[in-house]
Amino acid sequence: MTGMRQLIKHPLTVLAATLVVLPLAMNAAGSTLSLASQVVIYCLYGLGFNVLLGYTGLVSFGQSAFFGFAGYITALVALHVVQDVWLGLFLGTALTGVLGLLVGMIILRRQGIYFALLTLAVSQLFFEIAYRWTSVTGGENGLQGVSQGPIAGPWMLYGFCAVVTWIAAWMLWRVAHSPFGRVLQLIRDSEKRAMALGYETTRYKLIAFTLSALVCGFAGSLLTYVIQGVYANNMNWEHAGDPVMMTLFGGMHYFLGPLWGAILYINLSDQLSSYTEHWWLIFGALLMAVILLSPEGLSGIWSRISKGRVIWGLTDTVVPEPAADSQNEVELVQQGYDERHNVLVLENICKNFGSLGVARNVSLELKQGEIHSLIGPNGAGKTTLFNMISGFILRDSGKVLFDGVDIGEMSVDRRAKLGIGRSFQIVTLPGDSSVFESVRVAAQAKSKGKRSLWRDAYGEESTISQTWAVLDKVGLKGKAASQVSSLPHGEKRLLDIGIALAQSPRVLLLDEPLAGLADRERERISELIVSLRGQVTTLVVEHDIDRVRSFSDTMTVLHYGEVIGDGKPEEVMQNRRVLEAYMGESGERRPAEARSPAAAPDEHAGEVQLSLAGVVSGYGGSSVLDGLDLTVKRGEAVALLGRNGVGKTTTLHTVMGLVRATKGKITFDDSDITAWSPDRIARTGLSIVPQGRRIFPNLTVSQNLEVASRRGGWPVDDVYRVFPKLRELRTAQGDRLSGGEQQMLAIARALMAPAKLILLDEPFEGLAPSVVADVQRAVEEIRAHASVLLVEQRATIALNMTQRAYVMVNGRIAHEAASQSLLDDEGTLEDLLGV
Amino acid sequence: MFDISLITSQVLNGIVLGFLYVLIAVGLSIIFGLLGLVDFAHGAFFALGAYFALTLRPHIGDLWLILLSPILVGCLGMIVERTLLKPLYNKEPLLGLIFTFGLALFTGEAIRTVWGSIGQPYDAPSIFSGFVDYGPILVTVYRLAVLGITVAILIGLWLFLEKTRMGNIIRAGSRDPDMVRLLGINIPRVFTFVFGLGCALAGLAGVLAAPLWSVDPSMGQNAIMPAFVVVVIGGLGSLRGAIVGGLMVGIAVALTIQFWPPAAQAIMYALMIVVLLVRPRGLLGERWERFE
Repeated sequence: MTGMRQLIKHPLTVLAATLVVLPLAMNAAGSTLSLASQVVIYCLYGLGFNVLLGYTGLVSFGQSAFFGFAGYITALVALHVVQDVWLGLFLGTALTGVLGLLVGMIILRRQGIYFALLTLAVSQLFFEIAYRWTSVTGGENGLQGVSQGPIAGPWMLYGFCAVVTWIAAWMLWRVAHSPFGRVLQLIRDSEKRAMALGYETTRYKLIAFTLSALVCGFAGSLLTYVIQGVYANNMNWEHAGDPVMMTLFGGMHYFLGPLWGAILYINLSDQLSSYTEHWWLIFGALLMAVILLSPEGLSGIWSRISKGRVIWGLTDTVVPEPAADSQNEVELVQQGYDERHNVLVLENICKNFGSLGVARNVSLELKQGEIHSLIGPNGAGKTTLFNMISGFILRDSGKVLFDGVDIGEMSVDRRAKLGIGRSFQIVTLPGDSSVFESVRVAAQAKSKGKRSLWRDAYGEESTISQTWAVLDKVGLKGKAASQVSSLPHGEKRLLDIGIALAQSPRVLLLDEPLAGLADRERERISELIVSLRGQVTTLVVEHDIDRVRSFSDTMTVLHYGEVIGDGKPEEVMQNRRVLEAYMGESGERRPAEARSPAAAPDEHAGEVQLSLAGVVSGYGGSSVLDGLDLTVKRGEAVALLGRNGVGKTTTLHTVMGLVRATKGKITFDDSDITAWSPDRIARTGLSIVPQGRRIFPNLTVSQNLEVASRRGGWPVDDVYRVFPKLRELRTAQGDRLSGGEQQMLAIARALMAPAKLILLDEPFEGLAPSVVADVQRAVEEIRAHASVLLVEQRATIALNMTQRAYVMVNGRIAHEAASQSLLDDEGTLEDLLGV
Repeated sequence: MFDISLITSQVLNGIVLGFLYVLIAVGLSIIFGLLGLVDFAHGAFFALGAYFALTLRPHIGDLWLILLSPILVGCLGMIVERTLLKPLYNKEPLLGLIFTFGLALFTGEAIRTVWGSIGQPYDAPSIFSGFVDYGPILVTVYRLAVLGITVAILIGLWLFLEKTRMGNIIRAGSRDPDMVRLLGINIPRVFTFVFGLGCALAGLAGVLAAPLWSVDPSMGQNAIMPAFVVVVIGGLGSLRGAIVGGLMVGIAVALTIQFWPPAAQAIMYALMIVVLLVRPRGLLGERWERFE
């Protein structure tokens, strides 16, 4: 695109052209110049509002308070001090800015819906004050008699409004492209990531809020001059939604969205009001239609027409060319591998969630430059540890020492500035941003100019070259200009790691970097991790034992919140306790004769009841299941084994319809249930006892059972007969039960409905050995009445209770055999499940 | 200066007002608890309750109106949920907020279109006419009736939620809607019912409030803002909190009307701001991670 075309298409040029054409067009449609001035003012109002919504992601119903407050200040100055346009504008805007700062300091402590409601309360409070304080504000009648001074006359007034609005828009454009503006957009996409990069997000939001108040205030002051007075109704609850409506109509993710919205809003309400006084009907309906059909507004529709899809237009998305002689090394703190120096130390960390001990005296040492992995047979605890290291959760007791300094009480951004970086879930990546920008804003965190509101963010040499270096390192240089959402899953993971590397961390925390990836992608990520040795101290949580074994210098094994093994991979894998944790205790092996008998013979026994064929599914684009085949015959008890992270729970969730299978077929009792809704699947005879039990904490035991009961299921007295403990506890609230009691309840619950096949997801997880026996008996009770598919990570227990078993590895079945033969074949079991 | 009987009467008025607010707020709270939706249009359903009663009055007895009008409003609510709200559940929650704001604008204006902008008087049902003069208390029979009815409804609601299967399903669904589905229960249908129930409660409040506030199009916004305040003070999603919050706001407003009239509405917002800052989940609110 040539320079000239770029200039013509530039939003500021479009704005200027529109401002010139507008009064002529409106005149032709029969509107006054004064109305055109109002369009311009409302455009400014919307631009100010959109600083919060489009750029920072904050929904505010309170900007009308600033719009109105400034109007009143200006009018009061004119009427009681001196009729001077410049003074009025200045005081109106400045005092509103101060008000914005004060209000922001108070209400920005809250997020999301609470923030929105607070802004509404503020706007209504101001409305009440304006409406009732008649002696000062004129109450219902408002204030009149403001002189327009040197800008009197419709053309003069319009010209003035247009010029100052264009200047304000130009300034806002600069802010949007400044380092500050870029961080705002990062906060909108993922505030956690922004904090973890070292940005003090509350401060950024406060400045944005104040800026928004200033601009909205300026617009309000201008309006006072145009209508030569001020009235309270702009602040009532209906009009509090004006900027929201305008911006949504025009497109909240487009710089000029508010312009189109203002033109539409003011003109449409003006034209409609000559036909009907009920134009709120149209606007209400229009707002609803926009949200349902095109949340990106008119600009979104235009983008779809002209470019084929929705591309945001909040900033210029021009990715610079890499300089020929660019420095190709990512600026990482060159540490070198040093065994004697501990960069990060965890000392006796304890953390409880309620009665659940997530971390019990966990101690860990990260040596400088090493790759240290954190593994463990079950899920809980590892992500919590990461959150305690990075600062999102505070530990209950114990110390987190970084280079000897206790950082346990420090905020997330402070710890990030010290040098702790981490990866996040892929869904938090800014989908509409370019790959280049998503890394650049991370690299910016280290630069000195990062707080600037005025400079061009892309003018900072060192940040740009660091970005290129990172993209080169993770292998995404060729995709720099692509939209993040267009990247395949594996490349999003690379990008995620790259973003964390861009801040030059000393310690990098990687949370399951290989999850949901295909083999080839795992290879790529593993190579990247290996290349970090000696440069960044890396702590990796993973379940893919084979790969982890190959790239780790040290391994720590966590089991139910306790460290049960720590050292070089070869040592850890020989460790008895670790082996038992993964494979099940030797005490769990029972002699063959003591095994529970097969289910009672049934004339349908042997028929296939449930079958999965070539099933592919996953969450958010990942393929956790990669072509899964499995069957359960009527009357059978089948085990599904595999290490954590291979997709066992995903399999059950896919069968139950919570996760949609993208390929393959699931059949139950000869019906194709692949695309059915979960409740329909349940009603057809499939019940699940889910991982974590998921009993309803706010209901009693008997209420939990009652909710689950359906015709054809067991009467509750029969259930109490089998589970006498539950009868004793029947009035106890769900959240008061112990783990074992909850598990009993979850299993009993499955009996209350006429289930033909019951899926059990790790029913023995987290249970003490004595309770395990109780639950085993409960599961055996179930087995007498329905087929069972038992997912377990503790292989021995599961094999003792089933006839046949599958072993999963990375989303597919790797092995199938009779349970007894697997029990006897220790070698295979250890290969597939062991450490 | 402090006339005891004046204060007592105003406090009693405040309690009646408070319970009306509670009725509106409880509907809002139930909707939020299960659907995760903050319904700006709730005030419009309140107004519709009054307007339906106004229209049907010439044809149906007063006591039947108290039953019929809320049911009509509830049915309308269910239709709205089925047709308009379903697509919102998968979108960003703040879009849902803006959507119901649009719905509120639309319905408010629709009421003006159908019934006109001028307020219309609505006499209290004749069987509730008269005063009760007992010691320091002076109050109309109608207000006492409103108090009685709202308390009865709230008790009924509590019994429904605690003791019936549907009530338990609703409570369970507010914690783990997916698990409820996995038990074979058609949760989308429950959502529809709950939205209708919430609207019906608002409609009932509207019928009851009609003689007290006169029926005009702005009664909707006079209901929604206090309802928001009550729900936020008491905790989004907490029923007990709605009751405590409603009474607090009702009494505060009633007393302010008596002693400092211009500040009557403003006091509500000031209260809301203070509570939201100190305890964003409300005085008794449970932990709702949805909107953090």
